[in-house]
Amino acid sequence: MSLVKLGYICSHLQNCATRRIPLTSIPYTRQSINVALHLYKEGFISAISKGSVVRPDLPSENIEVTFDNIATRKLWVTLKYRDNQPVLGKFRLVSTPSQKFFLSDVEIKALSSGLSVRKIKPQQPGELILVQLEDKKIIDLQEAAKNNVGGLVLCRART
Amino acid sequence: MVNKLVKYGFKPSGVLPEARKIFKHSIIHPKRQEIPDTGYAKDVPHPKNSTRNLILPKYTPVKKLIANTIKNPKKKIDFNSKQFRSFPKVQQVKLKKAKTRRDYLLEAYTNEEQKILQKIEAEKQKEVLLQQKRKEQRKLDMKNQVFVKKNSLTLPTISSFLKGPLVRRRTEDEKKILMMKKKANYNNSLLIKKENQAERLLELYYKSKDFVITEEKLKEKIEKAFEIPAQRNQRFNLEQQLDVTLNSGVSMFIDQNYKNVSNNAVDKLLGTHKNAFPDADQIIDEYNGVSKNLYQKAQKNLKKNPSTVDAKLSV
Repeated sequence: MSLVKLGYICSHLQNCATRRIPLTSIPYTRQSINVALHLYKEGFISAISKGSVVRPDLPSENIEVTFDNIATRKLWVTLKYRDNQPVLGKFRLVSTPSQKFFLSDVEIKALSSGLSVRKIKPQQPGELILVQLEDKKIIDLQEAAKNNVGGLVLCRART
Repeated sequence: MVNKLVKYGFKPSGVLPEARKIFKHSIIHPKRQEIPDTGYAKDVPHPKNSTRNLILPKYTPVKKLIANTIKNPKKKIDFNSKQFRSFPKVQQVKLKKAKTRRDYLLEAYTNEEQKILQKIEAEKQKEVLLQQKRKEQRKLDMKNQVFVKKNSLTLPTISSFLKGPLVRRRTEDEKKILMMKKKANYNNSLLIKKENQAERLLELYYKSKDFVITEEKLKEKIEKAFEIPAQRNQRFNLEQQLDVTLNSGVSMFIDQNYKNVSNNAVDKLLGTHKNAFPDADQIIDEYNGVSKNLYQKAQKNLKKNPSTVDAKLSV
């Protein structure tokens, strides 16, 4: 999936959070699942589930994704709110299609330790920055710094 | 006193003291490993009154406990000796009491230690037996080829979606069915196309009857085209039509539509074309020999029981 589509997901989730919408759907792709999983781990969203275009699947129904029904498959995300305020306040792309930030392992370490790298501002406490590795694997910035790997900085989410 | 005991079913009344453990701390060394990536980093100083190392819970081996709490007197005293008898009676009793207390405590400690060790041993044996049972069960399952998937018993996790391919590939049978469906759809569309073509061709054929081919027909057509209609007759026709519509209360357009619908229905029923000619389907049936077979069957039925036909005709 391209950065454009990831941008659509970011803005869609952010818009839904501002309008206090409890449930939304995003495309059922590998990258969107990865991003949603990281958001869930960091506590920005409360639940993820598979579903159709109309509604999320019930726990009792285990619908297989096939080539016949892939067009109607969606990933449903439950947004989180505290005191009527969205937990996912800002969710934006860092790299854009016209300006991609490929950071080395040293730069990623610097970014995670509180330094600004090129135009990217340093990571704040409670902020999630996602990095895409060469093998298309998406990991957290802290994990990337720990494993001494570099990659494309995708997006950042904060309250 | 006795009455009171009877009253409460020979149970002592009042609040009993809490049952305390004989050993305050565990008597066995607690085996614990440090969890990786926890505690303080190398360069980070740790706060006061705390350690960098893992704090294990206190443990005192029974030997040490006995050595600390049940110390023997420095001088060994024989209770049957003359020296002991020479002591004052109060001291003698004191010494004897101390001895019995020491003996009882030692006995209690040793008994408790044995109990605990036995318990641990029993647990270990239980685990070994369980493992043996599991091994045997696994062997049996392998023999009987009974495999239970763990994943099938639980709901799939989100991370499990990413492990395999996102979309399940079609099986060979499914591929075959899909190909058959596609082929059938293509053939059906071809058939519809050919049927439409045949119908249009037939219509053209019927219309060709009015085409001008000969010289005589051409003359006739020209005369018809340039013929001046009689105005009187036309006016009469219009008046007549208006009378009919006003009297019946039905407009001319509806009447015309009704005529068209009725003509179509009759055509469908009889299998004829607009100009009372055979339809395309009828021709195809004739060509394939379907109508001939039908006719033959009807003839046979007629010969078998002609009475039913007569009865129907009379009704």
